[in-house]
Amino acid sequence: MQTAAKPVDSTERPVMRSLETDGPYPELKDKLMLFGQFAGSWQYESQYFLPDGSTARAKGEIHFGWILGGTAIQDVMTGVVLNPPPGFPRTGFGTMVRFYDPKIDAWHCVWVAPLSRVVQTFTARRVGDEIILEGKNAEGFLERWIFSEITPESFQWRAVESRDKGQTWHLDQRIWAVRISPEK
Amino acid sequence: MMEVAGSQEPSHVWTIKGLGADGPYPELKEKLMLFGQFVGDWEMDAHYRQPDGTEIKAKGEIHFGWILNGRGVQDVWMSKDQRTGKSIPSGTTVRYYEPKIDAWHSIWISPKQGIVQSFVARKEGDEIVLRGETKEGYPEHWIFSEITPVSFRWRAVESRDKERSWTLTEEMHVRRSGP
Repeated sequence: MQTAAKPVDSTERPVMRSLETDGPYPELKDKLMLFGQFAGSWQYESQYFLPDGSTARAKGEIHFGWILGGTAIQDVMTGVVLNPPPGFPRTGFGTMVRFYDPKIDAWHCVWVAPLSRVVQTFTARRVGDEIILEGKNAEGFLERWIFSEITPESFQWRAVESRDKGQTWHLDQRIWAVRISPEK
Repeated sequence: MMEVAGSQEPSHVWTIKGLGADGPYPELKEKLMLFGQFVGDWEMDAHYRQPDGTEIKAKGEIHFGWILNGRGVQDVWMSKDQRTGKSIPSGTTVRYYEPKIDAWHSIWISPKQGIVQSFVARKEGDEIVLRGETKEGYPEHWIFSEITPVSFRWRAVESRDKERSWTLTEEMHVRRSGP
């Protein structure tokens, strides 16, 4: 059993003070705003589409902030699954660190989720109106995490997986997110 | 109770709510203290061995803190710009203890170097050894040694002959500068 951490302003913690920054690294600002536009706090509702055809619903929060002198963006995602099927995790949380790499004009993203025992790396780019993170999941299948319908106050997100090298894609999860605090 | 990280309290908009934690997740405390012992602020003297045998010296800071309900420890490494004296962040490590393999997953992320490097870390004798690969695919170890409450030594070694011999590429002497 575990209770949630006591509410403490993270700026009181030295590591957070050294880690966090209040804005983008100026020289790369245009590029950095691809994920920088999400800085702030969001609440979300989510739906999982399980292999057996059933679904599970979840809700939670995502908090994005600038780190490392504004060269990277880190987020923390927390969630509670409202109707978990047997064996499905009831809660989830994790953090993603992402930075823009001028050499490939794309972002390196790393998702770390201790409870689900996942470390997953992605390369992210803007494609049309969407932001597509591409990587491989633990089983080695192609996986894409896609931000879409992005406005200053809301976005959608979906995870899709392909088991036939990108010919067909299965929708694994959807998220609908709404901003809960203004950016500035 | 379910495990949910973070707080509902309003704070600065740029803080990543739910990231920082006050201490280790109690049930795994003993294991978590392997890296938890470093929580706090440190200053370091670094030596980088160049392929031509010369050495580059640098100064910097390291800051460690609990994250994700105390299931992980994140750090920030900063190097001091010799001209301006300002500390510039060079990267961060996100690491968590994984009971299934009784080891830590440790991911070094450096925008400055343009790399993401994954290691598996364990206690080996009196040292903590992080095993991974260089960008070029050679085995690389990052090693914490001579660990006391107020100091430690850190070194990076890599092998280009299938782990028969190891070359020291970087070394740091680190002293605690704050709690």
